[in-house]
Amino acid sequence: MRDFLLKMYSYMRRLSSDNPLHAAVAVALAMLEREDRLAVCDALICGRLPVQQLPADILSQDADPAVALGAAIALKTQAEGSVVVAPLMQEQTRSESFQTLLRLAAAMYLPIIFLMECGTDFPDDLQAQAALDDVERIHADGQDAMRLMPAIRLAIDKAREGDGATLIECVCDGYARIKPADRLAKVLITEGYARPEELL
Amino acid sequence: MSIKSYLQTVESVLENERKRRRKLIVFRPGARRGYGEIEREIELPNMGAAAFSVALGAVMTGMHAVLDLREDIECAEWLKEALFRLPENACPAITVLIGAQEAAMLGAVRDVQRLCPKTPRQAAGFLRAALHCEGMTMVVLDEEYSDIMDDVPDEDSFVLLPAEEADQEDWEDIVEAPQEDAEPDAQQMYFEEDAADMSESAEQEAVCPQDTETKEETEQGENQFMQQSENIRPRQTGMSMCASRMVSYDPAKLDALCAELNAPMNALVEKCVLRVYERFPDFECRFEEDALDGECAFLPPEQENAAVWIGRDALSIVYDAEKVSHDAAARRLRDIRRLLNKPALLIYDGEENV
Repeated sequence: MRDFLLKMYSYMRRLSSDNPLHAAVAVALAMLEREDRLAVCDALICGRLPVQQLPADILSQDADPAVALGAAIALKTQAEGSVVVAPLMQEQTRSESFQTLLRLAAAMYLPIIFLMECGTDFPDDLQAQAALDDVERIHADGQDAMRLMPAIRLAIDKAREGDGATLIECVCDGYARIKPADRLAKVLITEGYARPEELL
Repeated sequence: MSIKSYLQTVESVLENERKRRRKLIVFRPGARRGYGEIEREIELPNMGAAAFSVALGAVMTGMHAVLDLREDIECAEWLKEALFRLPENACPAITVLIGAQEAAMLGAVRDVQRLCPKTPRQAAGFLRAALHCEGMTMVVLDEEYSDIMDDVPDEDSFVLLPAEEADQEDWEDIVEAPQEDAEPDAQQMYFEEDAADMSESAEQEAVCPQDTETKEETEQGENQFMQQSENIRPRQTGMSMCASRMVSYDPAKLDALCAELNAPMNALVEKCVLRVYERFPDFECRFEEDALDGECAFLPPEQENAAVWIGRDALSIVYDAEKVSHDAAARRLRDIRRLLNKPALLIYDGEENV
């Protein structure tokens, strides 16, 4: 558990904190296996990538959900039990093409997890709501790694077992108050998993 | 072999290749039945440019994707945009199947090889070649040919191999070609004329800075070639009684001459081939301009007795072993190889307009 939390903390420090989803992506990266994929920009990153090799700017551009979907389809046909994680900003999820992709992911039981940045009032239109009803949704605090962990773990296990796609709504309101990395560091120190000098 | 129509051939090749190769996946956007999945044949709804991204995502996991856009009549516009957004050196392993009208609207695209089969046999050969290609290819399927029926090989008639693998001698079921030459008189006449041409152009050759080989080196090279071609045993292809040979050539002088004359490579190669073709009109020839280094293909002849395939630095011939002897096949390869190694011979033989 200690190693896992420290790895998660390292990923969180490595990623740029400008993107509100960096905490969720760090938690997902810590949980992914080597055969899994993380969709970033127009590329796919394999799981278990060493922290030093992870580019710091992978969240500087939005991931393409269609690329992530294609990867999920390919991995599912290979029957490898691998999953794809795709971080998405709220603006991306409002388009009609994303709703089509979401319905397709649900219909085909694809092993894909969408980490979606949202506010407390998401979704704000009925059409988007209808698309979201096709896929399982999990609500989580996007700034708290300890609350993201069970949500992402559940989604990954579900995808590996072939039960289909999950949409994790990472609520990021009040983002600027406490940085997720600092919050996690406080937990690590309080629970005795690490000393302050280890986390510098 | 079985009689198939143009469209039946395409479906048959796709199905066979999909069953043979686990890394091949077919996407069909614009499906009317809704979402469907049949063993790596995925029917997608109408999603425009997102369909290309879906194929790209599959390619990124190591698969070869086929994007069948024949049902999408509006694909030209979004496909052009999607292709131009690709990074400059990106060559995803995607084969796009597209109709002729849409292909005409799309126009030429950088780094995308376009294949336009006109017969079912061509469709089978070109599609298989595209599915084995590591880069992006586009197979243009024209409905105008949809009614044509033809004898199409059911199995793989050719294999794409790098040059070093093609030299292996561990082939089973090797077909031995007949020992007598099929056309001894024509071949003899060719070599006499060629000898005369070589002597006449000897002076001009001396002027050309590219051809600095001495006679001894030329003869040594020829001897090595004959030994090499004898060591390459004929190999049976999927077509009965067909055999093949393959040899490499050095494209350096061809490249240099093309640069010097500012001429396209395909024009120069065509001239070289025509020179040999004048003597032996009973063989087909294809020049693969976009072939990679070391790439070789063995495409069977469609109507004639032999077919030569010219790649970047390799030649191959597939011939009917009952009608063409392996010596004759080897000689044709040698003749084309000689002209490709010394393309300046064309210039100083009176054909100055290349």
